[in-house]
Amino acid sequence: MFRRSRNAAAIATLFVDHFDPIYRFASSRVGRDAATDIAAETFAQALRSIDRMDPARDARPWLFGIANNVIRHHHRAEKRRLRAYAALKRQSDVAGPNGHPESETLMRAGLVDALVRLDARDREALLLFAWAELTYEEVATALDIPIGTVRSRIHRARRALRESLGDSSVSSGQLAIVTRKEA
Amino acid sequence: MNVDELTLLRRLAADEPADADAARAEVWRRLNGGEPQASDRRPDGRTRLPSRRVVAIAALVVVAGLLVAPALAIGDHLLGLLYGKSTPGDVQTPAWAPDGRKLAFVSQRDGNSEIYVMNADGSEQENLTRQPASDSHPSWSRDGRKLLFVSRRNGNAEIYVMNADGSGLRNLTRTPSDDLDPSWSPDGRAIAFVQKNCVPSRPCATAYETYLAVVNADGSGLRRLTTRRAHVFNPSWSADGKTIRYGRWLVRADGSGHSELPRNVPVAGAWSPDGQRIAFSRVSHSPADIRNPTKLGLWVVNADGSDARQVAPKATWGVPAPAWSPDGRRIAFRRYDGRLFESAGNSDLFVVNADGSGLRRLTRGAANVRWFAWSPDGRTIAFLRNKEVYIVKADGSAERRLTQLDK
Repeated sequence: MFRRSRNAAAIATLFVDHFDPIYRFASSRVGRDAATDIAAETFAQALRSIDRMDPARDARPWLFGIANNVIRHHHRAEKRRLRAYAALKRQSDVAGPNGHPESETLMRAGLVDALVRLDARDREALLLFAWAELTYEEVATALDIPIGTVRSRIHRARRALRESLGDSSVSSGQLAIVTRKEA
Repeated sequence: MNVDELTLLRRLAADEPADADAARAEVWRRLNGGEPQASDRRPDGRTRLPSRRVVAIAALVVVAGLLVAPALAIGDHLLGLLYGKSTPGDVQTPAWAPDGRKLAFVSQRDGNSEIYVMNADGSEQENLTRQPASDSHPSWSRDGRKLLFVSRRNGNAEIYVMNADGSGLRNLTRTPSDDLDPSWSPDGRAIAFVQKNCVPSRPCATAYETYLAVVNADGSGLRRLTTRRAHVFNPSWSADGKTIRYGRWLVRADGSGHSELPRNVPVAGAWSPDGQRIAFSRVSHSPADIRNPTKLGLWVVNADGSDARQVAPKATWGVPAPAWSPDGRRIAFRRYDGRLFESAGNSDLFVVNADGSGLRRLTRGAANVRWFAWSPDGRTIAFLRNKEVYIVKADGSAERRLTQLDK
């Protein structure tokens, strides 16, 4: 028979189980101010379209996929948030693991620069992997793209970031050109 | 340099420590009908709201509430969300005139929602409500002479009636609440509608307040038929005009004899023309059901809750509900093609006989079919795709687009 209460239970569980990671992910990408709105919109959309969820599968990649779509509408906030990461002076600068506090600040600046310059699709695949901690397969589900495409996007993105760390003499403009050529 | 790019990237995220407790409570409150509130913030910018444990308990209370009190406001609102609760301007079902010769529809082609009427072949499209506020939700009187609709021209949503040529405009509900979802009684003398108490100038004291109300077609005798706070939506009349249905609840048109239908009758189902059966899209998150596709899909159940059976697999859940053909023999419904996101896939229109035979796909569009309606003769279905009105024969032939946004 029609188990309304079970549906409601499932929805309450969905929220309680998945809110924190979704919110943290949104917060990392666009900052705390916009993250509450993004999380609210993500769950409202998820509830509205819950018939699209394959209930036999994990809801996590599906929810991150919705969150990622919502974040696309906040691309300015995202660029702002990402750039702000470069400006922050971290605790580790004082006693960094590599013993060269200044170097990490420089590396971060290069990394953030590369991150901002990434193709948006490469960046979102990478961040779903690195920040949302989805597997390649889950990223493929979240973005509704083949896993091979996920691999190549993340590979490309990581290489661009790695290059930004590897050779600080490469200016960000040159790096962008190099990255584009290789893509 | 012994830090790799991934480690460094992950460290970036740690620079934006997320106060999930406050945000979780705030989002839960919004999902339950609360407006975004800045006043919840303390001077230090942190939010004074319950912890994860409190939200988890609240969630359990909602679930328990659904078991014991179906009209509990908070649970009903969540259900409203789940069922895609309609709002004016959102419901854009093309409405067939009773003689099948004309269609009323809503278009935003001039920048805001207006009521248009056109011939059933798409010719002579005319805007009947040329004014800057939103007009939506048109429905024809049984004699085809008048159109009922919802307009926000006075600031809040109110129910209006006009002649089918746009003349003789009349506001039937001058109330401070939002008046929504109007439905003609079969004899055309009364209109059932939903009153929503929460309006921007007067926010709800509790999460959600909607009432079932009735007004005479001349605007007199406005009265509420429900007194408790509940999630009331899409009221409809029984064929004899004696009973009004909303969700799983029934009430006599004079406000007496309020009753609830059996538990297994769905909240958002479609009643057959004779009022004997209900078609609905079934969804379940019970693991036993999920692994058994015969438990989901399009179902039909008798109005007394007996003889529930599946008539088609894979029906799309939510609003709009499935729709019965005027003769009650067939059911049109939307079916999703199975991809994960609506933006990536399509809902297409299907028709199946009420006994489960003769399943037929009517549309293969590049975009979702949204609202749809049977023509009075049951031969054609009008539907909305990408905000444009289309028609297709009930056998799937002769699909045609009737409107163009730029025309």
